[in-house]
This record gives sequence, C-alpha cells and structure tokens, in this order.
Amino acid sequence: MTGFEIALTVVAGVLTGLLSALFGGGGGQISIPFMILVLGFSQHVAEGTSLFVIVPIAALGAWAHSRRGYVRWRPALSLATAGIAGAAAGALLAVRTDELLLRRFYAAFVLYAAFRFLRPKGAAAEPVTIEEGVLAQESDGSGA
Amino acid sequence: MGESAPQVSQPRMYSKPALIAVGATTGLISGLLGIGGGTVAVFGLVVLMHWAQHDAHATALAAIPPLAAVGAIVFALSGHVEVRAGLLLIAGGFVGAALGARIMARLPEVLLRRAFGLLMLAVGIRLLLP
Repeated sequence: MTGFEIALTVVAGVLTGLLSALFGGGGGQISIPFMILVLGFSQHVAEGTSLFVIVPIAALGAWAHSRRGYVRWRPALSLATAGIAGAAAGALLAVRTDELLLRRFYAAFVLYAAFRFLRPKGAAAEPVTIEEGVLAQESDGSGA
Repeated sequence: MGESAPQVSQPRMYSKPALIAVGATTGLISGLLGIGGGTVAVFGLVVLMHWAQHDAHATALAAIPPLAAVGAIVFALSGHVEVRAGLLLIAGGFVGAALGARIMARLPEVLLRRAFGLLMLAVGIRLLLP
C-alpha cells in the first residue's frame, strides 16, 4: 500500500463509520466497493475484510445505543444465535462461489440499498408513524 | 391502529420463531455478501415485526458483531482477509462513528440519504461493469 492508499483507506473508514452511526448499518456499502474499485481487492477479500471491520464498529455503535437504553438484549440474543448459523452458512457459500457471480449478487444488493435510500417515503414512512406510539409506551421499560 | 395497537403487537414483536427467521436471514446475507446485515435485520424487525425504527437499529447493531465475527473467521480461513487495510478502515471507522454520533441531530438527514443513495447507485452500476 502506498501512503496515498493508506490515507484514502482511513478516509473510506471515516465514511463507513459515519454511515453506520447515522443509519444503523450500511457500512459495507462503502468499504467493499472502495476495496474493490480503489484498492483492487477481489470480491472475496473485500467481503472478508469488510466483515472483520464491521465487528468493532457495530460493537461500538451497539454500546452507544445501549447507553441510551434502545437495545433489547433478549431479542438481540435470539437474532445473534440464529444469525451465527446463517452467517457460517452464508460465508461458506461465498468462499465457494465464483468471483464474478458473487460480485453480481453484491452489486444487486447495493442497488437495492440505493433505491431504499433514495425512496425513504415508501417502506420507511409507515413504521415511523408506529414508532411514536410504541416508543411512548415502552421507552421507559428496562428493555429486557 | 389507535390505542390497542401496541398491546396487540407486543407478543408478535418478541415472537421467537420470527426473531430466529430474521436472524438466520440476516446472518446468511451478511456472510454471503460481507456486510453487517443491519439493513436486512432492521427491515425484518420494522416491516415484518412492527418494531420502532430506533429500537430496531439499536438491537440489530447489538446482534451484528457475533455474526460478522463468524463470517470473518470463515473468510480468514480461506485467506480472504486483508488485516492491514482492515485495521486502517477500523481506525477511520471509529472516528466516523464518533463524529456521526456527535453531529447526528444537526445533519440534514434527507440530503444525506440522497447523497449516499446516489453514491450507492453509481457504485452498484460500476460493479456490474467489467
């Protein structure tokens, strides 16, 4: 890595962190394309490195949210337990998948995420209305 | 909807089979695509299980580190993790996350969503080109 690439990588990291802090996810939509298009990594290496990066960044985000009492720990545990099995299966499938095919799957997901970001009024608007009522009822609970 | 909605939605919100389905799908997509899966988990919790947006974001974030760790280990065993680039991204990521948490309320969210959305659109199209 050249000094310039090192600097660019840190900047891409800042954008990744910013995006996950603001929208509760989406960091992988910055770091993976960056690693592929700028650093020239393969789809597989970009994905593996992205997962490695997500672990501490998501943990930091979760810690910040939990201090404000938003994390429901018991459902989070159910999600994580099932998720670990899913993640192992997904990653094993990915390392066996052809580079070009995997890249197309990934690009399709990025495009889907882009459309969701560009049309927040569609799916996102309705749950936000529900949020007010649910939050008012439950935000004083322990979250367990 | 009205006043009875929160009570009715309570059992469904914590339904274990639904949480397991959302978790397994999140993990599968996270491992396959190398992403955190927050988008998937939040979609499942908010749209299918009627969670509040903010609680869904926070709870999804709490569930993600173990999934991402398992995925990262599987990729690493096949030699698909660049630790140096990863550490640089993490260093920047901490700065971005701290910055984001601090300035979140003052940012024009709609404008940001559009900017990131357009960036992703361009990136998605570019990735499909040879």
